Amino acid sequence: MKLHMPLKKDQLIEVLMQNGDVIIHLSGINKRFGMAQVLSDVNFDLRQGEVHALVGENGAGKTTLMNVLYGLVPRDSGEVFIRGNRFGSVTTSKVKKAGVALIPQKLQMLSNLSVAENLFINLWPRSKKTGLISWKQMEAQAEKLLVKVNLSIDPKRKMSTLSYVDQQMVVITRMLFAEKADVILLDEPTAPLVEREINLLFEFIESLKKDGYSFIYISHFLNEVFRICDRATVLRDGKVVFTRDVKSLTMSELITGMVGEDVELFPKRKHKIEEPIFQVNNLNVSPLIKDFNLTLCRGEILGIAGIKGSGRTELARAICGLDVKQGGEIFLEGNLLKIRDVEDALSCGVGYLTEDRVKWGLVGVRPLYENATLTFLKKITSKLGLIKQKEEMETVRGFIKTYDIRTTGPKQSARNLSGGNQQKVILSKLLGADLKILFLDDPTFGVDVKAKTHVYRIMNDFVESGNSIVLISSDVFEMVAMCDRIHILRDGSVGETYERGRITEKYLQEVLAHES
Amino acid sequence: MNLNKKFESIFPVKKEKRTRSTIVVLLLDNFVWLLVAVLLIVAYFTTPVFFKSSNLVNILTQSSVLAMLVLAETICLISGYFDMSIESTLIFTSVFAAWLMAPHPAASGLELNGIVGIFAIMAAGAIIGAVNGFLIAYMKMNAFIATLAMSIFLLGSCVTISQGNTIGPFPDSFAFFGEGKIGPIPAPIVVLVAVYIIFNFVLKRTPFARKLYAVGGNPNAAQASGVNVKRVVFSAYVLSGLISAIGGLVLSGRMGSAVLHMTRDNLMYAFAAAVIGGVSPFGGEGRIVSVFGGVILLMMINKLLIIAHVDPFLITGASGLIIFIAMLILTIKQNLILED
Repeated sequence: MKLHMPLKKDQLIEVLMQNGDVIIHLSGINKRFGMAQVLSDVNFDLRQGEVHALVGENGAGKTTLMNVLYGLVPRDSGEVFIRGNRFGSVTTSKVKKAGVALIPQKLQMLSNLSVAENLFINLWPRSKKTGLISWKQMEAQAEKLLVKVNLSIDPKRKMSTLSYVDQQMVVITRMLFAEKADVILLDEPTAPLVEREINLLFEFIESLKKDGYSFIYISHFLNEVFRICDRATVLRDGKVVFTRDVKSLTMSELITGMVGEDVELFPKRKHKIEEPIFQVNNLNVSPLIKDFNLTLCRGEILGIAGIKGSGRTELARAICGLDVKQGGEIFLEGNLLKIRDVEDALSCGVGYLTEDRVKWGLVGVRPLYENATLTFLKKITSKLGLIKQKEEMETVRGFIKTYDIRTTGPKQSARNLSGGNQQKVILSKLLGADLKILFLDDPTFGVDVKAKTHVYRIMNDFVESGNSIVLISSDVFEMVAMCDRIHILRDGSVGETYERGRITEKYLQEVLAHES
Repeated sequence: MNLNKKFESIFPVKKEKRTRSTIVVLLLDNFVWLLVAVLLIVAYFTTPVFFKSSNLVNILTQSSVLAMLVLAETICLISGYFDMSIESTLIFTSVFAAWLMAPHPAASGLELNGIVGIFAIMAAGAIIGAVNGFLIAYMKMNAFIATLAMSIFLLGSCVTISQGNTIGPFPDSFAFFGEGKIGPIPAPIVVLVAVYIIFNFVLKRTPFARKLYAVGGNPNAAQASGVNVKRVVFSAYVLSGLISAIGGLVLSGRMGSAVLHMTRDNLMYAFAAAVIGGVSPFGGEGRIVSVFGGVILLMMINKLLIIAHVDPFLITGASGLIIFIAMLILTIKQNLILED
């Protein structure tokens, strides 16, 4: 057992001498929740003017570490230094005073007030004579701030009328200048953004970095680590695996560090593509999709690449009966399908995996087994109209085994499962409905690496047994590795098509960035 | 299977340890019965008279009408909606049946026989539910507004039909549901138990119930899983109206005649009992066994306060306070589960 004695003054000075530009220094942080050691002996430091990525799987301790630093969770032991000052008890107000600000995914802002008002929450400039808020002064000051950070946003605009990325940048600006912070903790900032907005945000971060501001960057998207970060610290099971310069780091090293073993992220599959079985002709979905055509072969994974908001989701939803379409014919194995709702689509063998599993995927308050069988209740209903409980349980236990769903049992509430396991439950409910065509919309979004690999395996198994998949995804690595063909969605119909091996991740990324 | 083995060879399965004794789970699931037990113990020491068998039978008989309203509301709440018109449906069906059957100057003069009357009363309830369901599920009308308007309309219709009179008496075959006995057991208790057993079974074993819970828990996910959400919500309202009408049947039988003010204030009690019985006001959750516990708890509180000679002017307030405490305990329990 390691004891953490408080450092003596001369030792402290020594620490500071060694790390001249270190702003935040965490050493030997331990945290235990009940039986689980969430953080053990974690060392972490942040240098001035760097973007430091904090990566790890779900449950690796990233969030807990940030919560310890931000005073939201008390640590069990370990030292916290900010600019050389040792923090005995870390409280949010003290940390904020020391210049650290957390930007959570759910932005803290007053969305019905103007940008200027948001920039100066609680610090609104007052008129000297009356003591009332001086709007003129506030707007002038806001204008100045926004110019300073190169944002062209009208300070009089209501916060709610801005795009998410603009809101993010306004909130960051407020933290930096009104609240005088110089260290920003960003928690999954790009999750709701489209490619063009991500570029905007990165440019913004890049320019602030040059002015000496520092960032801790938590993200699920590993490719972003290489785009924006200077150093990366990988956490696994509450321990630091390594902290390294990103320049000397490769993607596979990063993944290996996170997972702990050499992982083949994309498992091999037999590419056995046969005759065309599924066809969509002249599909129209207002307002985005116009005269869209698609032909899918047996055993094929077809990618549809497009940015968020390009209509890729609407397209899949309309085909699968979830939204209304304004015309278009759908053929499966030569038969014209009449799909008016999801029930029709499922009974024809066409299913859709949602991009938003909380909103469209699961009934959170109901147990796992009820979720897993919801799409094929008819199959497990007896002639008397009652559910065959035994058969149902066996089916669900089969799912749990085959798809490796980590759960306490079939009766666990769906909302208590982790993201990856929720995704596996949704997949199993679709696969249980005996589908031939599966539309997967961002199937590995917010899913950790192990579960990702498993989702890919499930996909491979599905197509190898003679079915077909349409894959829609923001993850260019996934698209390039998994798809036999990739259609680029442009102006509501297919722009170009790339065969497998004819397109690189980088090129696809550029194409998509260009689209937005 | 082979897929799993392949996967396990790469990632050794870590079994998550998270055990909670089944007794604790059972207790949390049936928390309302724990409250009932506590109340029984309190009653045992303070008011032993409470345990006279005639008193217990009395409680059950009296709770039969409220129990129907609670069940009607429960079905609606599970579907994620609610019904403000259940009590009015009950009164309306009763007045309507009296109008059809009773030999009374204010009645229709048809003097239909009891059996036809029973069908008429149920049909009326189902139709009222169907109108509610159509407005809410298909016309996307707000549930509060639609059922409140329905409630006002029904009570108004009662006034018109009865012209303010008490219409009666009901035929004997009808009175059986209120006054009759099957063996030693009063008919209302038989109806109560039968309806609850049937719905307990329905909600546990039928595909319809699965869809009902799914729609209440997350209508989007239900739709994406191929559930016809509108049809399910519609059916929930039809059931709600039908069960309210059964309540009307029992009450008519007990009163012997129909009058506008035959029941009052039971709507809010119905909500309270359902929620105390573990039905989520947000939809998707609720078990019949616990809901029954909620009914019993509410009736016991009232009865105990009366037997204990609490000042009649205090009783409503006191029972309100106890309901409030019960809700508070339940909320704390709920929070404990969520934190887990």
